[in-house]
Amino acid sequence: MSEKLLEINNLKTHFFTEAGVVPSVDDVSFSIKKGEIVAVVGESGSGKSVTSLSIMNLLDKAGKVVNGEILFDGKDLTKASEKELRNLRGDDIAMIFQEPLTSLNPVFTIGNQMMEPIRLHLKLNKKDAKARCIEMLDKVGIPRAEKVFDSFPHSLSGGMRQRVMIAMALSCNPMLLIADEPTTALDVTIQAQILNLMRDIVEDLGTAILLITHDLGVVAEMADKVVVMYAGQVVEYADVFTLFKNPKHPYTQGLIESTPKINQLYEKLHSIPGTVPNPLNYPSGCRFVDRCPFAMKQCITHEPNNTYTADGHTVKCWLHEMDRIENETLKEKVRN
Amino acid sequence: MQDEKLLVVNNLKKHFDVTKGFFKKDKSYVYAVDGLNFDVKKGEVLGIVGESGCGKSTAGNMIGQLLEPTEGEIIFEGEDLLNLSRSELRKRRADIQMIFQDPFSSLNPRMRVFELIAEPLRTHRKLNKKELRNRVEEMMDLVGLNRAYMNRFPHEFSGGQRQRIGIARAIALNPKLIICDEPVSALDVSIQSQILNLLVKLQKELDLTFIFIAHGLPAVKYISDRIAVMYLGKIVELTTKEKLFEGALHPYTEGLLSAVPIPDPEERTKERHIIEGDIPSPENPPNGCNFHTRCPFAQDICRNEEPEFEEKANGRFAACHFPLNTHLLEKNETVQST
Amino acid sequence: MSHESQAVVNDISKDELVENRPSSLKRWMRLLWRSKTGTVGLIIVVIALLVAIFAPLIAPYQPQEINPVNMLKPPFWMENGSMENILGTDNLGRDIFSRILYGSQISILVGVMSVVVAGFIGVTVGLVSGYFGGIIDNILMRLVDSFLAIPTILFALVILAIFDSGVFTLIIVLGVTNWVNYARLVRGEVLTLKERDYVKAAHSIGVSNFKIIVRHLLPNVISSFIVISTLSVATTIILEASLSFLGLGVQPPTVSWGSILSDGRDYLSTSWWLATFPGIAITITVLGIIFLGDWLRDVLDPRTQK
Repeated sequence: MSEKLLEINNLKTHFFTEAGVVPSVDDVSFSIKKGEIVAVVGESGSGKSVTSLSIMNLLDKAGKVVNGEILFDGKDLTKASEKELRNLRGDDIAMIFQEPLTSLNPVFTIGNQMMEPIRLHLKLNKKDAKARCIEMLDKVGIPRAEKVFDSFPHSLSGGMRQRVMIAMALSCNPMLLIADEPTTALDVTIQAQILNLMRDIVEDLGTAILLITHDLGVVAEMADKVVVMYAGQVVEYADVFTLFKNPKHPYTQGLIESTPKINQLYEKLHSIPGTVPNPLNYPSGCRFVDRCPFAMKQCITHEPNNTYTADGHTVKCWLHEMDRIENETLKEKVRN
Repeated sequence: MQDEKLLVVNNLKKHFDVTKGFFKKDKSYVYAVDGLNFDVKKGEVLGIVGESGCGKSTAGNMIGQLLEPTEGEIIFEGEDLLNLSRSELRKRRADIQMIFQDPFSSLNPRMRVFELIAEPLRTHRKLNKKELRNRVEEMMDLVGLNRAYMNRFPHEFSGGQRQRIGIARAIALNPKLIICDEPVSALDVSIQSQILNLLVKLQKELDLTFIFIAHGLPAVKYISDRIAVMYLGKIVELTTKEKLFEGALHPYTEGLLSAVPIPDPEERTKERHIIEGDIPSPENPPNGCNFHTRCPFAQDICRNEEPEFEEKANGRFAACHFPLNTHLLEKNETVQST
Repeated sequence: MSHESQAVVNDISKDELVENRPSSLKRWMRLLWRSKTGTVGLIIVVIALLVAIFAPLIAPYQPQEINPVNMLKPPFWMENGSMENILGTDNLGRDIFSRILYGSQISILVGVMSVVVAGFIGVTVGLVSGYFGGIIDNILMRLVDSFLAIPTILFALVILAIFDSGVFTLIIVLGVTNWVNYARLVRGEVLTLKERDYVKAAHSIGVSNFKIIVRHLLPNVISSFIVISTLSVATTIILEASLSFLGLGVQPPTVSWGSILSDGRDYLSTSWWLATFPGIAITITVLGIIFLGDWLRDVLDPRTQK
């Protein structure tokens, strides 16, 4: 269990646009162990989706990984050839997206599209491939799998389509499933069904999941570990219980407090003032400084480091950096 | 709370004709809204929740006079809006305003902020230049927009700011009723709470009446006084927020409440009532109670007989043959809502 | 939480704009500079316009000035050519260079004005048809269909044969045959625009139909109209040339590029310069307009404005 399946070290992905260079992902590091669910949470523009696209090298022309390594099973994907990546995609690493309708080709039947990766990666003949498809459709809880196999994407509901996508993604027994906002386009009752399904998959098949989401509720229900991203950087990284019980970064705190809980009544909702900074012109110090209730002088001028506290809890914030420095000087004093 | 009824909706229906085929032999309809009955009291916030396709936005559009109902009455201050002449209706429009979901598409990209906020005033009020400018500035202050940005275009603002422009437009005429159609669902979490707080503040300060339509229960719960839960074109439960969260009467409401992910990993182990199955197509709704295909408690009577939408106890309306949490019904007679 | 007291920090966010833009003129200049073909197109079009406006000042001769002594003189770099008629003379001894300069006036006038006429009819029909839909749309679109079924040249031939052919008739004929394209384009755009929330929002405020069309729809279709119309100025210049070439365009003594071309047709084998130079003038101008149109399309598309 403790073996690292995916390790991302100091990843930087930049987009080269007409208006200038956009540092969408700026020095991101985290890892996923086998059979683990790691959630990357952040608001739009935080770089969470770009991180996942960088892993599969599915960035469009303007985007480029400029630094860092992405180790999958010991292999650096940033140095892999397009052919090697193609072999990995759909086989060892599979992906599902937010809008299942646009990820399915409308002119082919479900079966047709499902068989393709199965025949390619598992090298099965047509009959066995079909049997495998139907087995997978059954597994994701699709009633009358045989009938769905022959139907076209538009004839299915959103929830069914997402199930098909999951069946498709899992059909080649991937080690890692990247799920980019898999339930955002779905209704809550359907979302609950899909989340349940994904949890069962991890239990049954031991697939690791990288879950990209903006919804802290989904994170709290699904994740083992959480990566909180803001303006292209990881601001906090901890296991899910620690993070919700003891969030250390003011952004994480604000985010948790501004997510209303269904079982509580509020006089007034907490909110984070201001908006996300312009990526073409990030502040030189901490990127959250304009919206932070605790901003200090050095926050404006100097970028905080990643500070480690107990149990691999990482925070990128001066408040905790100061704590650490204080602690160390204290220790030194005691020693002296 | 005042008890004066601002709006009464009676048996409101909207059926969209989706008849296919050249000869149009077999008529078929989407029963988007199929018989709504509710009222909105002056100064309250009525939340309408439901999943996609339940007809909540269609209902909002009908009350906002953007869609013509197939059947029913929309009585606003004692006047049936559907019987008004065109010119009377246009005057009435000043009293009913809307706030839309997508702050990126609901503002004309080629109009400046000043023009956007001034448009409703120009349409309904005869103001001179100075009065108009003052009113626009006042609105910008009220929603928290810097006056200096009056001559900017919408694309220069972030989503939250744009929604503020939309809100300023909606309140500029001092309307009696504002229909908020998913006003925060397109926004980021941290911005959502900014906008929700702003709406609550304005509602209190200006004594506004809202119909707040959303699919996100937490947001609806925060802002609403009473909540109507819709499923397949019908209201299945309608009650005050406090009572609703004490315990739901309708199994669908309970499933909906239970499906909302709780942002606290400690509550992961909590037992949930996950509703199985898919929402049936509104083109072909089930007989009897239209939730019976997914209801864990469905009996024969549910399959054949449509339950009446009725007051089960003081202030608790539901359409269900076998309501849940019956213990709440008895005690409710004595419980005063806080 | 440690910062409970901070939880009620001012709700009204700091008004921070997403992006600060340079002034629009600066932006245009920057965008223009970035596109080489756009720059070339603009330069050509500006020169063509200046030539048309200042033709009387630049031209060494009157366009209809006949000089029997100097018939069919070749351009200056050839034997017998001289600097007096730098592009040579035609069969009546008229100076080709002067005729091309004057001809540009009519060609460009016809090109631009007929597009204005076509645009006015087309945009109006498209807006009304798309916005109101229903039976109005049905009637107007069937009308458009029937216009599309008539071959342009044939229609022009018939009309010009019936009425006196002159610059004004030409403009009207070309305008009337071309409006259908705009009507279809604008109607299509309006059909998608009217479903936009901001049009719905205007309805909910109670804005009148007329104002919705003028203030919400028109400004949003105008950019695609400008793009199409620049390109169609180019095709209309060619169409005018074709009609004049067939003898149905402007009548002497008025000159247009097409009529010069048509006059030179009989001398192609012996004196090529009669037809070649007006042909080059048409080609360069049309190319310039097309370059400019392509560039405008990129600039006016809001998706490329980032």
